[in-house]
Amino acid sequence: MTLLSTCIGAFLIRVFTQLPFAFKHWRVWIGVAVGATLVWAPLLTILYHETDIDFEGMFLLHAVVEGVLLWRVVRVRGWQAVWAASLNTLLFFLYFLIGNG
Amino acid sequence: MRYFVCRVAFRNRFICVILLPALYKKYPKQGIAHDLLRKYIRDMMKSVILLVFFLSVIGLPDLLADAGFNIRRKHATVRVVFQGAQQLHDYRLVYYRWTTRFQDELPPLVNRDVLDTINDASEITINNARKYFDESDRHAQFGLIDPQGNWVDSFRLYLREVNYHVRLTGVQQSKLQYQLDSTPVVFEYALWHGEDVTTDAAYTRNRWIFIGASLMGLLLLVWYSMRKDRASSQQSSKV
Repeated sequence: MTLLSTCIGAFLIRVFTQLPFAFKHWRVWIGVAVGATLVWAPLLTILYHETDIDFEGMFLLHAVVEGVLLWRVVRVRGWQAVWAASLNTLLFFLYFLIGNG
Repeated sequence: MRYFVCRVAFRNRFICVILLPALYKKYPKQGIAHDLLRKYIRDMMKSVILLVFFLSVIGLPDLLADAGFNIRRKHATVRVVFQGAQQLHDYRLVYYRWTTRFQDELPPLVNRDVLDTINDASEITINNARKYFDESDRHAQFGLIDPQGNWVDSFRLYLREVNYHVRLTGVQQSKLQYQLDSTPVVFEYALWHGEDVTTDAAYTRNRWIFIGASLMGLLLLVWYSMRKDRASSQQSSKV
């Protein structure tokens, strides 16, 4: 999958899964969402095509990092951050695997 | 009182379980125990659903496969080219895919007449394996067949990460003589669909753009984490 389509898809999934939980802090959320999209989309693409890294582990790492970012930086409530991060991770990885498969 | 009992009891699951019957009995009409039970069940539901979510993670590739998606983990395209096939004279160099079914060096069940004979125009290309983590299709086996039709020699290449240039120099005592040159391959990274890139240099440039984008995102995240005017914790209770 190309860089542009990965980033746009990842950001749109973020809008649907995370923005409802972080609506009051949308300015901070936009910065964090753009940053996290730019980190994960190219990094996972490179790891997927050039290494044999276990993507189930990357899945869990992604979920944890997203949750911590939402909880500590965007200041979403704990359980809401867990939901938003888990749902976002699941949908993004489905999109990523199907797109790159 | 009702708020205090709920808060204390809910924070301690043990107290919650112990107190429930007593609370039902003592405050039958106030609904304290009912609220407590509802909160407790909601809390349990969160844990159970999260556990199911993480269990589903383990089977994600299989889940996709069952849904009909054929997930293949693509790697950079590997090419094998040949030079000097005329040095073999009456011998035939043939190519076939080595799979887990052929554990022996020389597969007896392969029909030798239908195998591809290698010549100078031959080029073998592979860019993905059979399935998600199965890399057995990357083994390319080459066999040497003498003029009488017997297998006399073979060698195997693992087609990943490097291109091969096989220089055939002849056959001595029924052994194939060859030199192997290898060059590293680059994955065909693209920035947008339909981007006009054909050379390895362009793909390498795109790869550095991928790495640069990732680092930029990391810097942005660090900057947002260090900012003093990020969303404050006081606001979080009102979300």
